[in-house]
Amino acid sequence: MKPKVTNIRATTIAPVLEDSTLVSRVIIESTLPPLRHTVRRVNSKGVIVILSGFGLTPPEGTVPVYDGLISEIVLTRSGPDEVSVDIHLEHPAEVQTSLEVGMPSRLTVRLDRAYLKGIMTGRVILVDPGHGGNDPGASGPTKVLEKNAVLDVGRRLASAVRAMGGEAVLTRDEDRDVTRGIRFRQAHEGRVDCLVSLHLGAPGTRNIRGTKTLYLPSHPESPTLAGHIQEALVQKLKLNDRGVARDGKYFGDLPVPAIATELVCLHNPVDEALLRSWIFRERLAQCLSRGLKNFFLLARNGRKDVHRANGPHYEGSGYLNDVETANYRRSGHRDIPTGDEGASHGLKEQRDFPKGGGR
Amino acid sequence: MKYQPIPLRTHIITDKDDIVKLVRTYAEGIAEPGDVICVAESPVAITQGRAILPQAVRPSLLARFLRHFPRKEGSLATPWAMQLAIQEVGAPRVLLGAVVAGFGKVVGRRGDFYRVAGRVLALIDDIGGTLPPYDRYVILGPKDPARVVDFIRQAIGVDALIADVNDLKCVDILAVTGEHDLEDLKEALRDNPFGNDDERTPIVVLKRVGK
Repeated sequence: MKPKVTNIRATTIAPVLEDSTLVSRVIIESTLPPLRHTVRRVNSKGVIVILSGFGLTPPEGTVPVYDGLISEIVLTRSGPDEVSVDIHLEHPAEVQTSLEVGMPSRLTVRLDRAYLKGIMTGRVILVDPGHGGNDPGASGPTKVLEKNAVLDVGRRLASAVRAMGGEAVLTRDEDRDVTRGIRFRQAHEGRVDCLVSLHLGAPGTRNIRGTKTLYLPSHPESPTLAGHIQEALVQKLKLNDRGVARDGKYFGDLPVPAIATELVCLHNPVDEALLRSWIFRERLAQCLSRGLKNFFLLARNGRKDVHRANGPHYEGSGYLNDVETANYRRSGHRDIPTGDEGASHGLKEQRDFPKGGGR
Repeated sequence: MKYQPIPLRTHIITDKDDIVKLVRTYAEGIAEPGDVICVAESPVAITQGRAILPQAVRPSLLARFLRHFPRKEGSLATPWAMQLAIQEVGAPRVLLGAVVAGFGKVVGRRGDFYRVAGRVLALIDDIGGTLPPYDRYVILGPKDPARVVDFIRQAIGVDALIADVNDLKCVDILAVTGEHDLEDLKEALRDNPFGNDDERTPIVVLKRVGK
C-alpha cells in the first residue's frame, strides 16, 4: 500500500503554552515515516517540506494558521508521488525537524519564535476588560454577561502578551468595580505603551454580528493600532467586519495609543454562543496579541508606513450595514456616513457610529 | 492500547456530501480489514441535512420556558435548540425529563434529563458548537447511525463506528459494526482525535496494533 500523508496541523491554541519554549510547530502525519524528505528555505519567510514517495489524503489547498509566526500552510501534490508542504512565515525563524516513527508517523517542523520576543520585549500593554462588579455591561440572549466574557479574554490576552515577551497590566483581574480614573490611570501617566480595552457590541438587535474597533482619535497611532487589531480578528476568525471608527468620548485624552474593541456582538445568538466556548475566547486573545505584535513591529521598524498608510491596508467595510443604518437613523442621526471620509488615509472609518450599548 | 488512531484531514463537509463516498475517498488505502473507521457524529448529521438554521425554527412558549433550566454551557440553553429537542422526542417526554431532572437536582443526581427524555437529545450541538460555516446552525444527532455504519462496512469492507467525543474525555459510541471490545475502542478515542479546534479531522482510522 502506498504511504500517504494523512493530516497536517499547526499548534493554533497551544502557542500561549508553546511560547514559553518559543516554538511553533507544524506536524505532518503519515502512514509510514517519511524517510525521504527535504526541508529547504525559500527565503527568510518561507519553508518548504517535500515528501517523496508519498500520496496525499487531505485536500490540496491552504490551511490558515495566523499564530503570530506562521501565516498559512499550503499543501500540494508537487509530483505523482511527491507532496509539498509550503509554510509561510510572517517573520524569519530558525527551523528544526524531528521524526517520530509510529502509527501515524509524525514529521515535526519546529520554528523558533525568538523574533517575536524581540518585537515585544520591553512593551507594556494596559489590558482593560470593560465593566465589572455592579456594572455587568451587556447581556446576551442566554444571559452571558459582557463583564465576565471580556475578563476571561483579558486574562488570556495578558498571558499571550507575556508569552511573547511583553508585559501586560490588567485594569481588573476579578469581578469588581473599577472607576474610570483608576482604569486609565497608568495610560494617563504614560506608563504603558498602549491601551487595549475589551468590550462586546450591543447594537440592540440580534441581526448584527461581528467585530468592530474604536480608537482614540487624538493620538496619531491609535488608528494604526485599531487597524492591526481589526485585521487580526477578521483574518483568523472570519468574523463579520464592522470596521474601525473613532471614539473620542470613551477614553478622554490619553498620551498613548488607545483602542476599544467590540470583539463580537453579544445580542446576536451565534456570536454569544461562540463566546461561550473557551476555545473561541482563547483564539480571540491570540488574534489580539498578533495585532499588537504587528503594531509594535512597525514601531521597531521606525514606523515607516504608519504615516504613509495610517495603518495596514485595511479592507474592512467600515460602513454601516443596512440594519446599522436603520438603527443609526432611529437614534436621531441624519447624516449617514458614506465611508469616503477615511479613504484618503487608506483606512476606511466612520466619523460617528450608533450607540453601542455594550460600553 | 489495542488501537492507534490515525486522524484524516478532509475538506469542509456539507449536506451535499454522501457520508459513505466521503469515507471511501479518505480512508481507502489506509484502513484495512481488522481496523475500525470512526466518523464523528456531527459530520454524519450534517450530510443528512440535520443542521438547522435558528431562523428556520419557531420556538414555542414551552421551549422558551424550559431553556432556562439547563446550564448556560449546555446544548439546550437557547430556545431554538430546546424547540428542536421538543420536535425530536415530543413535548411530553421533554417535560417529564425536566421534572425528573428537577427532582434529581434536589438529591444531587445528574443526567436524569437525558436518561428520561432520550440520549438523542444529548447529541444536539447548539449554535457555535461546531466549525464554520456550521457554527451558525443547531446540529441534531445523526439519524439511524446503525444503518450508516452498516453501509460504510458494506462499501469499504472495514468495520465502522459513529462516536460523540468531547474534550472532557467522554466517548459515546452511537453505533458500531462487528465484534469489538467497546472499552478498547473508547480508550483509543479518549483524547479526541477528531480535534477540538479547526483541525478538521472528522474521520479517524483505528489501526489494530500487534496483528
